[in-house]
Amino acid sequence: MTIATTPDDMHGSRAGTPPAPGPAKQGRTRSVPARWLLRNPGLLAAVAFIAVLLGWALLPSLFTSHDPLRGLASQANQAPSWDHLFGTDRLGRDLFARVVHGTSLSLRSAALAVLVGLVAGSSIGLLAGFTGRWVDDLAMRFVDVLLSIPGLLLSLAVVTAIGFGTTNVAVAVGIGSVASFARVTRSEVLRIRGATYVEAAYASGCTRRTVLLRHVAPNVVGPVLALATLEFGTACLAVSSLSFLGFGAVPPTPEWGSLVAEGRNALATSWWLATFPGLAVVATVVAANRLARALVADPRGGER
Amino acid sequence: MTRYLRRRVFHALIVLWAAYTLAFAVLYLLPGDPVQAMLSSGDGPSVATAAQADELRARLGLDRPLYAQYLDMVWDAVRGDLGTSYRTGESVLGAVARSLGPTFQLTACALVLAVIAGVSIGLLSTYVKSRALRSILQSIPAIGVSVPTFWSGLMLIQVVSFRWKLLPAIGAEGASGLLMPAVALAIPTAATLAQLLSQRMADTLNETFVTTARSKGASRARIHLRHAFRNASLPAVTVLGMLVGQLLSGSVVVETVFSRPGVGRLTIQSVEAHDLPVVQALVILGALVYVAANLAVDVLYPKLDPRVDLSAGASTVRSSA
Amino acid sequence: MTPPILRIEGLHVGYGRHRLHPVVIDADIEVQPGEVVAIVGESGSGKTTLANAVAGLLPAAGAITSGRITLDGHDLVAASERQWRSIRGRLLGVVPQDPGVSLNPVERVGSQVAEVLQIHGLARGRAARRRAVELLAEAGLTRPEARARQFPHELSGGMRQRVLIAIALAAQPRLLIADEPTSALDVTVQRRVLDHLGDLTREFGTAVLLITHDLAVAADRAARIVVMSQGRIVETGSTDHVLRAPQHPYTRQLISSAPSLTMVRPRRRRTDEASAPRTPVVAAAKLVKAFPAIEEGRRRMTPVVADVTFDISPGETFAIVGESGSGKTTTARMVMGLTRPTGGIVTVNGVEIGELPPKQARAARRGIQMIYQNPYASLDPRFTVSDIIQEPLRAFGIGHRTHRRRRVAELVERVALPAHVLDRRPDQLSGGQRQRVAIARALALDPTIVVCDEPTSALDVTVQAQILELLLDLQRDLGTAYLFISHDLAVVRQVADRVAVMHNGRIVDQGATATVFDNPTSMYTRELLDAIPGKAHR
Repeated sequence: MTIATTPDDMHGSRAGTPPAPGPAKQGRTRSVPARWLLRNPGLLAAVAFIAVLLGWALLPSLFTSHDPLRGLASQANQAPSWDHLFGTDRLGRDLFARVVHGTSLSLRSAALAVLVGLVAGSSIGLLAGFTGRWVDDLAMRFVDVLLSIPGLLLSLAVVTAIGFGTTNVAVAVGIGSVASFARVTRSEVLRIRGATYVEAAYASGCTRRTVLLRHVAPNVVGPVLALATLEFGTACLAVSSLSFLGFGAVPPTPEWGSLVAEGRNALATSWWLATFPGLAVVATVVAANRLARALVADPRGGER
Repeated sequence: MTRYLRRRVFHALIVLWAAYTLAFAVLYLLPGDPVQAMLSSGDGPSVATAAQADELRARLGLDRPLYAQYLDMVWDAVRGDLGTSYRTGESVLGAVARSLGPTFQLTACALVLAVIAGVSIGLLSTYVKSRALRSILQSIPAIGVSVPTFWSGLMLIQVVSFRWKLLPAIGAEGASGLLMPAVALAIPTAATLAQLLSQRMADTLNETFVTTARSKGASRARIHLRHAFRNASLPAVTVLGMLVGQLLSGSVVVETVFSRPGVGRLTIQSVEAHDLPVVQALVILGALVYVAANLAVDVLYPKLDPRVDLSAGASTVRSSA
Repeated sequence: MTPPILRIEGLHVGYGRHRLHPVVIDADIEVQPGEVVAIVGESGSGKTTLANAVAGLLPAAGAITSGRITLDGHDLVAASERQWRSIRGRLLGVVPQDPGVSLNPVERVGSQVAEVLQIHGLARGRAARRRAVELLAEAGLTRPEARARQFPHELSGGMRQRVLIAIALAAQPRLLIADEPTSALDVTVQRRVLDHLGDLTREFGTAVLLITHDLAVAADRAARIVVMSQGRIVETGSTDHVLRAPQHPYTRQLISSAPSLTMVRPRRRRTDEASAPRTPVVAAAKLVKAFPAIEEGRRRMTPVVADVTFDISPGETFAIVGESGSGKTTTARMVMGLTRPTGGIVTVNGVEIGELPPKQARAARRGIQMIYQNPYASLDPRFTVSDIIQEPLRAFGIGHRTHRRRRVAELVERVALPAHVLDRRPDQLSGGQRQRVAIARALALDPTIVVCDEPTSALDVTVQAQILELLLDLQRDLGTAYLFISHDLAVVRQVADRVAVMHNGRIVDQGATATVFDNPTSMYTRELLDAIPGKAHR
């Protein structure tokens, strides 16, 4: 019931320009993502790095000719060089090869963790937000309790119960992220349910099912996917932490967290062993977070 | 006020009980047999016989129906008895209490560092005029939240202890031993805080009331500190509980990296030994810290934000947008 | 002749990070000491940008590309940040557009007023606080000592605007820039605030640059009017001259679109329809809606709508007017079946929707559709125009795909939109075009009645005039009845056959539009009518 406020002059082109001429914005929309990407070198670098990571994960042998598991004793403990980009460990194994071959396991664990959190969390959030009343109350109290337990402790408790190993660690990390997915999904559902266009859909005769499927769900997907990207970075950190602590990958298998743990014992002599696998984690998480931030801010600069 | 406080405390107790129940469900209901895990946790294949397993199970009380175990444990917990450790046989409460001191020191120190660093970076990132400096200040937190604590701890040891030989890698007493672990632990929290604050500062500086302040003739410093910062820091206060939880999680890793005694070490040892009662107690400790921090925020918040009306019950911030 | 207090010469302002897009083009304005000059224009005209350029408050993306601004001898274009600090607040006060968001939410209003005095070294400590209370009193706040200790959220919109006026005038500046100072307020409040602002600036001899979209407000308050359109000043002159003998076609269009300035005769019901007794399309009887609220620590049901009764005949326009909080929107929502009444009965097309099971209630919705206030929010941003208009047809399973598509094309033509908008999304349309889409959607099911909730209040006046005309044309052709909800009496007078005036949840006046406007029975209606700006110029 607020009274007309003329939109700020700056947004004039989007707001109440006289209706007669066709909109000037047409044609801009398509080429925008590409140009927008070029104008953000940081984002471009993030996307490029993620592409490289996917290459490492899917076709590791394309990027390195060294064997990640077997090394030559004659080449043990070598510092980084052209031949061994990241150096070698005490068994003469090439660290770059171990990092590249470890990508698949690290990314898969993080992806599994996100999937667990996404499926469980967004179902809870969708149900709570759309059903309302006592279902909402109950679900949100449950989420409160999940939130009250620090993430890593919850994951550790789950690992204690179901046992060690990469898959279990991933599931445990995923359970730790259920709460944030549930909260974001619910608040998005509530926001969209309260939107005038949803009420307009009811008013023009749509059923609850139609409204949920055609209006609420598609509009919730965007923010939830942005959160998933963000959580991917968090999951990467958590999975590698648990691996570092020794609950994840079993020694000969390369995984970034456990590679750092291996390098820890040679910290004083072979600095590269702990440094490079850790850098891989940092770069991955930075790239994922940068991408997530870009997804939150819609490229078309539309309403947030 | 007291009625409000009483209700908040009651709510906090309910959350604690629910967290206890959740921890029980995770540890005792999820598939996985702690007895088998304990017996095979040593090196090599399990040598335990079925009889040994049954005997251990009976000794730990794990052969009774779950609801009976749960009811007994809740009753004991209410009386302040959190059971005995499978690993050492001593009282869980004693073991946890003994480890609290060093961890409290570490996390408190890290929290102070994190707040100082986070607030300064968050404020400076909108205050400095140079575009280049600003983008550097904005990317520091983005990297900070992406650095795994175990790695930053190791890098600190590598550079500060081995390269520069300034501080001993591990085992130092007092302040010199606390510094590196506290810094490593503070990094993600400081970065989270700085990100939140710089985002909120940027948003707040775009709000109309800031324009009003500018049109009064206020200086940049006055606008940033008196008008924007007070408003922008409110969301940062509300996540205090989360930040403290983050620190507690981080201490698990940091204490391992720096071989420090404390709650984190105890956690790792108990998880490795499948010491369910201790793990459960540690989960409850985490929840307790979170709930206590949030309770403090709930009491403190209305003093910072006049829009929150306690007598109305729910903490409803009237939207001004 | 005294030199002007403000002189703007050949001013160009542009926006954009890489390429400057001109927003203000070659503006020349002079304001004499103590004079009130109004800049009138629609959104996108550049009037706010011009004001911001004068106040040195352009956003980071905006820049003055050429021209001069001189305020009381100071060159504002070349002023350094330090010089600006002694100009803003001291020589130049600003009353912002939206009082709801223009005060620091966590600081007491008294100290926000006192801050101006402290910044400019006019008073400090207790003296500043005492002066702030005086200023609040001068701005027309009752119980100023108590108000000074309150926080902004504890004050009403009108009171907050008075606080902002106190802030702007605290240092007795030579020039006051008021950017749409009352467009977020109710008409009666708007009038009182503007009256008071006028009195104060006259008393202090402050010149005023009044920025407004409302020609009638400008006509009432300003000695001279500057009309802007698409970044250019198209006309400047004394208020009388601009209104009586507008030179520029745009000014003429603006005057003819302003409902409060044009002498439209109130609509009269066509007699043939009135005489034939027909069943009403909507009948509301003793409607009550109460919400639980906490008052003095006790939960109580607070009535928002009380005892509202009215009928709407087929093909007529029935308007409900009232200010914010009057209960008019809640009444509309109860008629739509979106809100359940606490008491009373609504029948739509002879059916009592509230009593029906959900399935049949949905079927009954076919006969009643709605148009919302904000065309930016009422259309799903992911849908194309074609999908939006089809939605009601799809919801009721009407026709096959080809049939529906034909119907959509027909509707788009009906609301005078070009056929190529069908594949566009809402964010590619202007506000007026969006509202046309919303109208097409509402008409898709051939409803007997359409509820229009402030359908034009988010639009510019010239667009508003077009949309109102469209609604009336459609009614003539299709015989649809309208329930028209509005705060704007001037608009209502133009479109409504019958009017109900709501105040505090009750209908205080009801009858044929001419009767209510010419012989209002309640005090409140009279006050409302008096508050319509532009009276002297009709």
